[in-house]
Parts: sequence; structure tokens; C-alpha cells
Amino acid sequence: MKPGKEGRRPGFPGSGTALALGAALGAAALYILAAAEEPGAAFRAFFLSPFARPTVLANLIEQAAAPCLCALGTALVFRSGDFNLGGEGQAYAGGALSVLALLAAPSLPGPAGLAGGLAAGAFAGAFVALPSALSRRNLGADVLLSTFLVSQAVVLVLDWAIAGPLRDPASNLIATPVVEAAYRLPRLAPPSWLSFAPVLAAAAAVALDRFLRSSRRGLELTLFGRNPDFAVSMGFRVRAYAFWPLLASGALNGLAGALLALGANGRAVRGMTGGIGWNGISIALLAGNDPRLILPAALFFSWLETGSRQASILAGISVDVGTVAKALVLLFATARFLGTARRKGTA
Amino acid sequence: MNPVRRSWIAAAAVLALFASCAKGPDDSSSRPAVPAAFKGVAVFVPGVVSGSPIYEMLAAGARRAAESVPGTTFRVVEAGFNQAEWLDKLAALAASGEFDLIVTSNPALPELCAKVAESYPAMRFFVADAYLPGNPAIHTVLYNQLEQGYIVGYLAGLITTSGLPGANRAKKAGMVIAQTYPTLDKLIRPGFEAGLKAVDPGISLEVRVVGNWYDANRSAELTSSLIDGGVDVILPIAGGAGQGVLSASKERGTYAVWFEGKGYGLAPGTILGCAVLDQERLVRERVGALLSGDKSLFGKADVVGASEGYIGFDPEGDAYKALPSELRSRFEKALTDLRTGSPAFRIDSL
Repeated sequence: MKPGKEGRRPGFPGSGTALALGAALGAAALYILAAAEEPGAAFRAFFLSPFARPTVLANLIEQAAAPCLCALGTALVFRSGDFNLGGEGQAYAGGALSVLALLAAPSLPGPAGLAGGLAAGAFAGAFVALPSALSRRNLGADVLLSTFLVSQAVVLVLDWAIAGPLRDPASNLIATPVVEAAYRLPRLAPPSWLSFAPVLAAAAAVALDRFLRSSRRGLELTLFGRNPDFAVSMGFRVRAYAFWPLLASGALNGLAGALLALGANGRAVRGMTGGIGWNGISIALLAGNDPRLILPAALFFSWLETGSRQASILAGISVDVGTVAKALVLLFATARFLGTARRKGTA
Repeated sequence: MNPVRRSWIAAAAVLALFASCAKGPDDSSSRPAVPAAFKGVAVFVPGVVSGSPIYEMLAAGARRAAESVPGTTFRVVEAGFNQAEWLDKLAALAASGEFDLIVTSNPALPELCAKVAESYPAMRFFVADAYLPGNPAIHTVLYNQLEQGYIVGYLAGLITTSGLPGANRAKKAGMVIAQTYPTLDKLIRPGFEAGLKAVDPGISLEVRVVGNWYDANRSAELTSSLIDGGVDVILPIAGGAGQGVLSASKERGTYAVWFEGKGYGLAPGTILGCAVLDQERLVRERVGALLSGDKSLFGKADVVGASEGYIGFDPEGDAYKALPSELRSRFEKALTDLRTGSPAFRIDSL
């Protein structure tokens, strides 16, 4: 049972994706032309300077890792026919719990502690997704709404907790205490923040791709997502497919949050996820929910972010340029997604 | 060719093209540990400049200092309000290789600067409104905010015990704060309370916490509840959320004192006094000294206050001028006494 060409998800190769990428870069270029005192310097800063220094390039790669994991979670749930809008809260919970677990166990060996912290983060993300998964499986509830609502509640609770009972009283930052240095992501190329996180994200992408394309369960999941009635008639384990993809998606988001917390900051800072759940959705849409394209899409997003930051530092351009570009990617990718869905609906 | 493979190859080609087009010097970490002279000054604003007097003064003071040394690169970089992003952005500034002195202002910044300094040993930092002694890459100057709190506290004490139309007999003052943090807990609040008690030991202080720096509706609700409880003068330390304090106080006819520069225009008739910091002068002087080669400042954490003129009061507001002359005389005497060391507020550590 191999998916044919008609089963291929729209991704980079499609013209819609080119439009989204072009719109993002075009918007960035127009913004720079309108706002820069020296457009030439601003163009170089935005488009080229992220590649000019090894440290900046390494940071660009590092910051693509966590959104990549979130996007993989989005893509997995999408394959099951649902949409997880709760990435933000799941990642936030993952970051917070990974730190709390490591603060509670300060004397573990470093690698074991780090692995435990990442596992705790994945568990927390899955736990936040659990109510939505249960209600989806048992009651047929709308995951789109429930994941979003639960996530928002988690964000509010964690904002309060980090500013209140979990806060480091010795710090002027609104943040938890810092975990032991041995529990933090090891830096592979100082002074950059580059760690093994991008490798982990790439491995997750490969594993998800292999699962979806080469395993029986993966193919059944895809069929269930496209036509649940057909899946039932074929005797697939539909209750499981309505449950665990969302849980796994939550775990990937939680793992992303743990990577953020145990990276440069080494603590949970209020607002630490900074829209990563939404960026994950944008990246997944841009990549057409194809795990093979999600890492390059995440790198593209990271390039936009790094470019806007570099333009801000080197040419005085507002960092809003990156935000505008990413928003356009989301807009065009969503329009393409809706167009595809509509065509399928009328076919 | 498989379209996915084609995409990967295209992405790799673009990456290689950009990497070959982009030319830059080696990372700053490979530079000598201590630069002979600073070539670039970056002002790192943990927020945005516009609308924030303290950051406007920070940028203006650093700019003037940088302009006094020809050939010095100067840039103001706004990092936004999300504290979680500040470390990355500060590190990006260091990694750019364009600057070797970063100037900033916020009590939370020294710990982030110290972390960046570990990775970029050639970088130097000046942090105003902060305190961190002993780090050889960082010079900090803390305003004696015990004194700053005392100034507005003393005025608030005079207001709540006065016969002003909006004052009552309850002898209660309030603070609406965005959140608790060490500088507020250890300096601003004790200073404010000391000012109130210096006027009348029977004055009590009520404190409410908004929970963030932006929710003006929430702060307005808290203000109304304070006023219902008998509070007639409030000190907001809440950033943008302070607007809610002003609007609710204006609506109820009570008063506010202001901590963050010249703010009379924000709520005419409601704000009766403003403590001010001369941050522009401080930054201009200290950055100027660093640019002129005074490396001895690094590692030092100074505390400055009213006696040196860095902390003061703005007497030019119409609402202040309209206060009864007896009240103003008492307040101005207390201000003069403070400048001459009475009472003396010492800060040995934070």
C-alpha cells in the first residue's frame, strides 16, 4: 500500500509554496526599501549577514530546532484529520516541567538529568494534550477548539506560576531558578548556542517520515485522516488513531519547550515560547505537512528571524520586518491549504 | 528527479550561495580579551524607546557620549518586552562583531550581560539602574531608589494627611505594582513607606499587584478597590498598566504620585508630583569615561542618589504648583534635607 502522486501533500515543489516564499521575501524587501536609510546595507544585513559569521549561522540552525519539532507535531495530527492549535501551551508546559523536574533532582549525572528533563518536557506536553485527545476519542469533540482552549488556560496558569510561586526571588527576571549547568544542552560550537537540538529535530523528522510512509500503522493513520468511514469499514484501530497522534503531537511540542528552557536560558522564563506553537503551524503548512520538508521550512523561518534581527543590529531596521514576512508566509500557506481542502471537498 | 530531493538540493544551493556571498571577519570571541579602544557602542533597550522616558534618556546620553568620540559606531537596538528573548538578542548583538561596548538599563540585565560575557570575553557592558559588583566585564550604576521612593512617599504622606478636596481622613496611601522584583521589594517600597512614615507614623500602605506591565483595565480595577478602601493617593510602578491607575484616580477624584520621570501631562490635576532620574547625564558621563579609556570602572558597582543630583523632583508641574504653599514648603525642606544626607539611605548590597 503505497501512496501515489495524488496522495502527495503540497509542499515546497508547488507553486503555492513559491508564492508564499516569494511574498515573504518580497515583503521583507519592500519593508527594507521603505524603512532603511541605507537600503543596500539593510539588504545585506537581512539577506546575507546571517551567513557571514559562523556564530550567527550556528544560532540560526539552533533556533530552527524547536519550531521544527512543533511543526512535526502539527503535521502528525493533520495526518489523522485533526488540527492541534495547542502547541503554545504544550510547549510552555514542557519547558516549565523540565526545569521543575531538574530543580527537584539537582544531583543526577548530567546526561541522565538532561535526558530526564527532556522526557519530563515531552510528558508535560502530552499531558496538556490529553484532555483534548480523550474528548476526541470518547466524545468526538472538536480538537481544533479544545486544544486551543486548554493551551490558553495552561499559558495563563504558567504565566502566573512563574511570576509567583515558581519565581527565583534573587532574580530581577520573571523566571524560575536556573538548573544545574550539567543539565543544560551542551554547546557544540561556542560562543554560539548550537547544541544537538537540530540533530534531534532532524532525527524526529526522519522517523516521522519513515513511520508515515513505510509502516502499516502510518499508512492506516493517513487513510483514517482522509476517510474515517473507510478506515472503520476496513477494521482499522480508529479509536487509537483518534487519540495517540494528538498525544504524540503534545509530546513533540513539550520536547520543543524543554529544548528552549534547557538551552541558553537554563530556566523557564515567562513568555519563553514566544509564539512557537503558531510558528510550528506556519512551518507545517509551508511544508505541506510533509516531514521531509519541515526542517528546511523551519530553517527558512529561522533565516527570516535571524535576518530581521541582523538588520535591526546592523542597519537600524525594526525587527518587525521578520514578523511581517512570517505573517505573509502563514497567510499564503493557509490560503493554499484552504484551497487544497476545498478542491478535495468538491471533487 | 523527486521533487522533495530537488527542494533539498535547491535549499542547500541557496545556503551555499549566501555563505559564499557573505563575507565577514572572524567571531568576536577570537579578538583580544580587552580592546584597546572601543570602536562601537550599542544601546540595548529592553523594551522600546518611544514612550519610555528612562530609555529615551538612556539612548540620548549614550548617543551624546559616542558623538564626542569621532569614528565611533553607534546603534540603538530595541529588544522588545519579552524577557525570554533578551538573552538571545543580547548575544546576537555581541556576535555581530560591530560593537564592543553595550550600554543598557534595567535591573534584570546584569545577569544576562554576565552570561554573554562568558562567551564573548572581549565585550564590555555598562548597565544603568542595576547592581552587580565584581564582574570585570561589567560596570553598573544603581540609583538609590530608597531615596527616590522616599521623595514620592513623603509627598504622598503630605497629600493623604492634607485637606485637599480628594483627600480623606483615612491616612492611607497605595501602590499598584506590575509585579514584585528585588529592586522594588528592597528599595522602592521601603523608601516609599519611609517617606509616608516620616510625615505621620500612622499612615498605612496598601499594595496591589497587577501581574503584568500592560493590563491597564486590571490596574484600574485594583485602583478603584483601593480607593473604596480609603486610599486617596497612589504610586503606580506598573509601566503601561499605570495608565489604569491614572484614569481610575482621575475618575474618582483622588491623586497619584509618579516615579518614572516628568509625568504631569499624563493626568493633569491627578499627578501631584514626579520623582525624576537624570539618566541622560549619568549615561553620558559614564559612557564618556569608558570611551575615553577609563577601564577601571569595569567590575565596579556604584550607587548614586540625591546628593549627586541624579535623583530629584520635578517642581514645574501645574498640579504641584497649585498645592498649598505650606505643603510645598514642608516637602521642599524634606527634599533639601535628603540631599544633605538626612535621612541617610545606604545600600550595601541587593
